[in-house]
Amino acid sequence: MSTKLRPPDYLADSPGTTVVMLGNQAIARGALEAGLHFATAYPGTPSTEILLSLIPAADLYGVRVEWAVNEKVGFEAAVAASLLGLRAMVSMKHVGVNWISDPLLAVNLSGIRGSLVVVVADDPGARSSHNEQDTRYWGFLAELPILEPVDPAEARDMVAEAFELSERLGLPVIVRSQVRVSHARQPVVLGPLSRVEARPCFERHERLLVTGAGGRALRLHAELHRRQEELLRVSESCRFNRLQVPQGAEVAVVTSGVGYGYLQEVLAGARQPVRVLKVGMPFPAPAGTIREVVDGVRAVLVVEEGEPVLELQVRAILQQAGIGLPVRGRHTGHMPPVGELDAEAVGRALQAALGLELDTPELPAGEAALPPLPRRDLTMCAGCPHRATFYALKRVVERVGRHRCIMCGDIGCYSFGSQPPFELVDVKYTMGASVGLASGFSTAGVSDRVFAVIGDSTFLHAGIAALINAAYNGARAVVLVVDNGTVAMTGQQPHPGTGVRATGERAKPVVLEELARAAGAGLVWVVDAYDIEAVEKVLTEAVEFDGLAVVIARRACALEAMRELARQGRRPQPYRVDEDLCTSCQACITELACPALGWDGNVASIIAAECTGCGVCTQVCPAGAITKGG
Amino acid sequence: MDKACDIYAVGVGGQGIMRLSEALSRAAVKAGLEVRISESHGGAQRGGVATGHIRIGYRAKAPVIPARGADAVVGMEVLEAARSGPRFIRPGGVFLVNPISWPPLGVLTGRERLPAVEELVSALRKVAGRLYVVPATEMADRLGRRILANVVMLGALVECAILPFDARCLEDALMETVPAGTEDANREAFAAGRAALREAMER
Ligand SMILES: Cc1ncc(C[n+]2csc(CCOP(=O)(O)OP(=O)(O)O)c2C)c(N)n1
Ligand code: SF4
Ligand code: SF4
Repeated sequence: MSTKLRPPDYLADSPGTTVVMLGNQAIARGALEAGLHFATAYPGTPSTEILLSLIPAADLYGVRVEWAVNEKVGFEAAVAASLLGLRAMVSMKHVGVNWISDPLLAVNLSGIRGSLVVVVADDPGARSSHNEQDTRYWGFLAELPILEPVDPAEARDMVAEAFELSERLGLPVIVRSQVRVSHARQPVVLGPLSRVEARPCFERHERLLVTGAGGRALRLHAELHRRQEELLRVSESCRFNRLQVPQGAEVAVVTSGVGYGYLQEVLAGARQPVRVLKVGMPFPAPAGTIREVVDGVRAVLVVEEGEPVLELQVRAILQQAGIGLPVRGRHTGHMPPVGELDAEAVGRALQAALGLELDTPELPAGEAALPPLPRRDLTMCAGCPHRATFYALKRVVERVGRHRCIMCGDIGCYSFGSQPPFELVDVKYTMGASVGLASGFSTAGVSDRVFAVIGDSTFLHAGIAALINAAYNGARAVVLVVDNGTVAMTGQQPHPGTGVRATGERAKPVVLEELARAAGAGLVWVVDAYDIEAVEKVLTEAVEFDGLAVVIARRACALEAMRELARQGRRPQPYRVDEDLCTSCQACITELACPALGWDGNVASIIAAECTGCGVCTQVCPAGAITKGG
Repeated sequence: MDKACDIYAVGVGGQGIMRLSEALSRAAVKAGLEVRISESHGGAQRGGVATGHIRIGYRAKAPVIPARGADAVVGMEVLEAARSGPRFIRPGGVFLVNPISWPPLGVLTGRERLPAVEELVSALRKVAGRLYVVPATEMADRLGRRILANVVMLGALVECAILPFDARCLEDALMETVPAGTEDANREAFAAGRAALREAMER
């Protein structure tokens, strides 16, 4: 083991120590305690810190730690590591599973060697996502075991267990975290780190040719069906199941994950005894234990966060066993239809579904006679290069006629271009979709001008295949790549275009303009995002171009640039408004809306502590009232 | 003393809600108490809402504080304190508020109106058992380090006599979290917060 650096306390090799750690750190810790060799991920809230937390483990413990270009490729790389007999983990946010689903539904048939743990962080409530999507549903489709922790401490234990289970079964194992586990902190007692030396060695096996001739796919599928019995036994004896059977209980609750946390808290104030089964594996649900816990009760409620995954199984299990008991939960309207759970929702369900009485009745919300409060939406930071690009784009689009332009947006900090004062997004789905949509809008024959605005990491994740499609099919569109050199939205991780790896060493940077040319774009321009005139000029040419034009507006993410300045011991040079020259036209505020700009009712001003010195507002001010220097 | 205590902290990204939570959690561990924290911080961009649910003691099974369950609300920014504080403050609970507002974009661009700090504070008085205005940012500025406003608040919080550990324990825990070379400034800010609350109580 190297002694090059002092480990952060959650990675320390000091068993027995109690460390308050973030759920995502606990997941990283669990993997190390299980002898992790290979970890990869594509960033995505709330999963990003899992891989971030493992970066020091590269130097400390020789773990291979990588950022992947997207989830699918990351998953495939982790599968490969497991096929070499290694212990591999890949982590992602819930929508990342949509990308890995294709290989996942083949690897479940071939099985793996070594171990492969897929950690997925869900976002119930969709605070940082375009949807809420319950990863546990993949269990039905992939017929793979899913573990669901209730808190960081259990997440550590479950991830460690998942590696063992995966190795024992020869199958990938999925761990479903979620935001209240991944972004919670809790004391965790460190266990010993397991250091099994990596001996990568590939073993050929016909199973790895899932799509081979002779009906192999069907044979492997049938085998996976048969193995469900075995998974059920694992679920039945899962050490994370908790069963409480108090005397005299007439009702039962089946629960998993964070639902169990809320349930325990609410049940502390219940006047009647309740049987509780908390399952460690919501898929496949432990049928025998479920039959046991409901034996003799008059009703059962399922408390889970997300979709009715357990509820469906409980209903099926009881029906198969000929138990005609009412099963209540989401489908019966007793649990909230969308969003996060909370103690109040669980309390209401216990009362309505099971007729329990609670000591701590729900209190009415605090009555504060408040004036209307202005919303606090997230917006681009002061000095953000995307803001400058949107300003220029808006001028070009307005010249063409806003109603004659179809604006396809994408996922990243530039998504805020949908907000005032820009409002330059008409349609936006998921990673890379802007370019696919632009391709289709154009080739399906619309006469409007078609634009796609996409970030550098999103372009590499999913945009490039769409660009090839657009070029190949002869689309006429403007693809504006807003290249800030980083995956900013998730906290500035490097990517292949940055030319730096997760662990800091240099890689040959992918040159986006070369990529765009090779993909078949007819016109490719690179321009400084802070130079509004130049961006406008280039975009105007791109709009006139009768083919596929790619404009790359390049400038470092302002937060990253500020950090770089600080590393060099320098400070930004803020701009200021000359009050005598300011004509009170408010152009800087209403058209650019940099959060470092203020308005005192008479003249504009610049909050020096917020200003990054980008100089973009000087180009916007028609009176020349904004100048450098404080 | 009741060994359970729920604290809801709220402010704007960059105000140090995470450091505040971390210090409290370390103090709880030192005092041999259970603790769990659930945090959210908007996004990578600056200026989003930041919250921390700090749950100390046996009650803490769920990740977030139940509605009207917080023994104390620490409002680092008055607009956000007003927005979500009333949902969490328990009847009779302590409300600490830093009387500064960080105007959202709609206010900067003149599309929305920012209510006056006093207007919000007096509305909040009606939902809290006790409300103390702690000018944490102003005091931290006087110490020459705006980022220590959270430490000032921590000092004020410990004086409210609701935490299940003493000031010494919290100060020691805090010191474990501060960057080397800033210990004295942190101690000063902590002491200033304590003094400010004692003064506010006498008033
Ligand atoms: C499939 C999927 N994976 C991950 C994410 C999380 N995510 C949101 S935006 C983004 C990328 C942002 O990078 P970039 O395109 O470079 O734009 P920037 O934020 O830097 O402006 C990521 C990874 C997601 N939304 N969907
Ligand atoms: S994090 Fe970077 S890219 Fe994102 S809004 Fe802020 S400056 Fe812009
Ligand atoms: S120079 Fe102008 S646009 Fe740039 S950060 Fe400062 S106030 Fe904002």
